Amino acid sequence: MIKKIIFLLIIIGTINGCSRDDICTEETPTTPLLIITFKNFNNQLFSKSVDNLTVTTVVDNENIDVVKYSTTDSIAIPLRTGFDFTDYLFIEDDQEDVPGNTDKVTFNYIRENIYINRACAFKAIFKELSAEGETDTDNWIQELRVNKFTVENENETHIIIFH
Amino acid sequence: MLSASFSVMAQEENLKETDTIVKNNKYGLRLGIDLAKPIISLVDDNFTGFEVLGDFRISKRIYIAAEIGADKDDQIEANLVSSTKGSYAKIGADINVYNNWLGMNNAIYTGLRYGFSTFTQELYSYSIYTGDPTFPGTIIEDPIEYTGLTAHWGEFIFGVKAEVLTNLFLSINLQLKQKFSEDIPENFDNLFIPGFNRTNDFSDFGVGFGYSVSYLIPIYKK
Repeated sequence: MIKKIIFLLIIIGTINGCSRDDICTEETPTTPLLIITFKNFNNQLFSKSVDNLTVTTVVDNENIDVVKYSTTDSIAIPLRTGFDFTDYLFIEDDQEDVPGNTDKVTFNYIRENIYINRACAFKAIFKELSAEGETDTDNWIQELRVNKFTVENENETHIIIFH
Repeated sequence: MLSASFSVMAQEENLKETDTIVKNNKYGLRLGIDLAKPIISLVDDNFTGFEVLGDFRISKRIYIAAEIGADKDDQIEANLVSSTKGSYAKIGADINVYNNWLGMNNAIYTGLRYGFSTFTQELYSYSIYTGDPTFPGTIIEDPIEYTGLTAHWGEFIFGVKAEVLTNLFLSINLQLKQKFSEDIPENFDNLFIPGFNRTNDFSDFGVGFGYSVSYLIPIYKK
């Protein structure tokens, strides 16, 4: 009897393997993306799609497209978690053979790192968000408006671009 | 003739003694150490710990029991590295549910404990989790120490004790723990609590096991 129980206890003791909190699941909200919607500058209540939009950023001297040739009125793009700003090139009417009109936008913010759990560790949220467009001879973006100054989830529009 | 009468008297005395109830239930203080923790400390680079334990028999089946120990545990997770160190005490009682044969002192027991720990947690480094691969990951190495943390929990124990040599016992047990309260460090969590062991993100349960050797200092028999 005692031997059987010892055996049982040893078996239970060794079943101590994988548990549910070893993997950061996709459903866990981590660092939020920046949500941008596009609206009509002349009729500001209405959304207005951008034709063949490409959104590009530079990482290690290499262009990375986060949006490519997409006709859309809203996008979700990442902000850098290691710096207080992120630069993006917004290219309207971009096609393979015919490069579109490029506007440069810089997003500035203050980062705050927030603990999630054992597997996911931390996420960043972004406070005091601002957006600054670079003026050139042919801007297609007419106004950049901050709709939410804190980026802490992906449920609402943070930036509205009027064009 | 004289010697014969002496031997008869001696026999009568012997009979008298065996007539009384046999006092073979030893009562006393049993002290021991946990063997599992030093072994794990040798094998696992990320853990060191020890525990001393004792119990005192107060009735046929009931023992007042306590454990005192200290643990240091490093958590090397996929996205963070942290470490916990501190000490703990557990106090409660065990009930022997095993009916021993005459003169034997084995036990199958269940017990309850109240556990208390004071500890320090240090977060060494962590990464900022993003579901997006565009930018290279950010790793923060900025050690933060959280001191003076405490935790309280209740524990259910199930185990076996066997007397392997006179007054020397080997014991193995399984512990199921339920956390009552804890100090949660600001913007972090207790990933390990000394005595409670690994915490779980999704519940207040903990598990543990003990493998110990102890020696009974007999005080009286009943």
